[in-house]
Amino acid sequence: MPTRQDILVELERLSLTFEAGGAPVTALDNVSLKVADGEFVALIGPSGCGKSSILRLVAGLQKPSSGFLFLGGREQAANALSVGLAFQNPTMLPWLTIERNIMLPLKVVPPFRQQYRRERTRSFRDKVHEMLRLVGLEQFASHFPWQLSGGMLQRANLCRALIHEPQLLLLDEPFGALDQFTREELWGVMQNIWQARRPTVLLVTHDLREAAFLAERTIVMSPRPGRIISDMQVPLARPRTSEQSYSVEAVEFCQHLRRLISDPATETGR
Amino acid sequence: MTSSPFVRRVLAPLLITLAGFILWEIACRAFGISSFVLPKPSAIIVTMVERFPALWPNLWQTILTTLIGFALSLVIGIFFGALIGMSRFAYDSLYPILVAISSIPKVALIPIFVVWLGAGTGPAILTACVISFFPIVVNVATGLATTEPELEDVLHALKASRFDIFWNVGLPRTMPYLFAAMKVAISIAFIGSITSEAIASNRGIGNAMLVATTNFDMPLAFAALLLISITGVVFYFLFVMLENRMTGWAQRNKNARP
Repeated sequence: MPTRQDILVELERLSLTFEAGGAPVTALDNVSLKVADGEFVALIGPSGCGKSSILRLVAGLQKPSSGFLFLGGREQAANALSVGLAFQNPTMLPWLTIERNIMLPLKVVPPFRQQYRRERTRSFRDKVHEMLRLVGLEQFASHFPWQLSGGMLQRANLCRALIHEPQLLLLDEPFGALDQFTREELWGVMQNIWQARRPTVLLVTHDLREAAFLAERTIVMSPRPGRIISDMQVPLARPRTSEQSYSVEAVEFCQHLRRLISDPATETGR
Repeated sequence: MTSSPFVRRVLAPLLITLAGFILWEIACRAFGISSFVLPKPSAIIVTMVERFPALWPNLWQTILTTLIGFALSLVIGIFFGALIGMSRFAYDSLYPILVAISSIPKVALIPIFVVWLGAGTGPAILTACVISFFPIVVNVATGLATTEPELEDVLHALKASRFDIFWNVGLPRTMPYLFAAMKVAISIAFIGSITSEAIASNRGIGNAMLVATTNFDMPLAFAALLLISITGVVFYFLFVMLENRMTGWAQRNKNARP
């Protein structure tokens, strides 16, 4: 378990309720969670278990109904942390080239925005091209989004989420809409990025192999109302490969996760 | 029909117009229609060319009042469009008022404008402005309201301000809507200007038409009408060209993705 000082994200007895058709629905019930700096955590669970809500709360897009949220040791209102966000839908701006799309965070995030006008054709462009090389898109910098395939757009989406070097990367099923081969290839890309830059990552997914491939630690959540029912380290060495994700340990680990989700009563986490 | 864009967009409309004029000419001659009722197209065109030096300053005056009025309506339209497109409260509270204002027949306002500003250029500009701002408001608001929520979330998570989001996402994505509205708005601004000149001005092409009809100079009145139509077409296509330059990405977008 991480020590007190290097905890980047801390949820303390967090609950979220909202109104749906007149009746209150509890999306999250008393969730407590600590994520250490540099950790890669996967949130998994059946749909509607509130895992995306956790991400939205951490991103500051929603306010909790009760409980506390600390980012970098401070109450969330302090906004001390820089955050990158990527969803399943890449939402590139159709009127900008891929290069300029990826530069968008540099245009609005404080340390960079003051230099944007001066550096957009110099050091910022170099930064973007370095990111694009990392995901294998270097020839597509000056293409427009409609000229790229879904997998390529998702690579660009990852670049946009990472370009301003966020301390915290929030991924909401970013590989969910891709075919199997592209998805596994991007797992490799994501692993390389994480190993090279070590951002803290919260990944929401319902792909168990994805969680086992990418994460250091998996958090399993129960169906609504969302509660954490298991919190485990992934017992697999890095760097992980696609073939390795079919190994006995990996498959056993995935099956364990699967049993937790389908029948939470019989199984308890460590 | 497979034919080149030039044939379809330029040649065909010209030929159809020409055919219409020829039919009109034949009808005038065959039935001996008096030029006081309906002048022959040949006479109209001859008058238009001969009297062009007198008509042109009037037309130019109208073009200027139209463009100034239109520019004002763009500023007002984008402001209110942005306001009601970005804020639910502004939308709910201002939209009915804007509809109420747009429902007033603008002709009824012209005498009031004359009282305020005196006859002539002022009312023409103001009429062009109030008649054309509503489509701009509606389209800008629509463009802003249809921004993808995921994209706004990405920017909110970066702690982008409302203005950042408007400037980098809302405004550019509104451009295709804005240009569609501008094509409509420039035409009705032109109509507004002409109407105002016909009611209260001693200058402008609308006034020239009025003077021609009170002098029973029907060929001149029709020559002015023809000039108005030609100018309207020129305005429209200038904005189409501008639209293609500025928002080509929106049209390219329709092409299939690889």
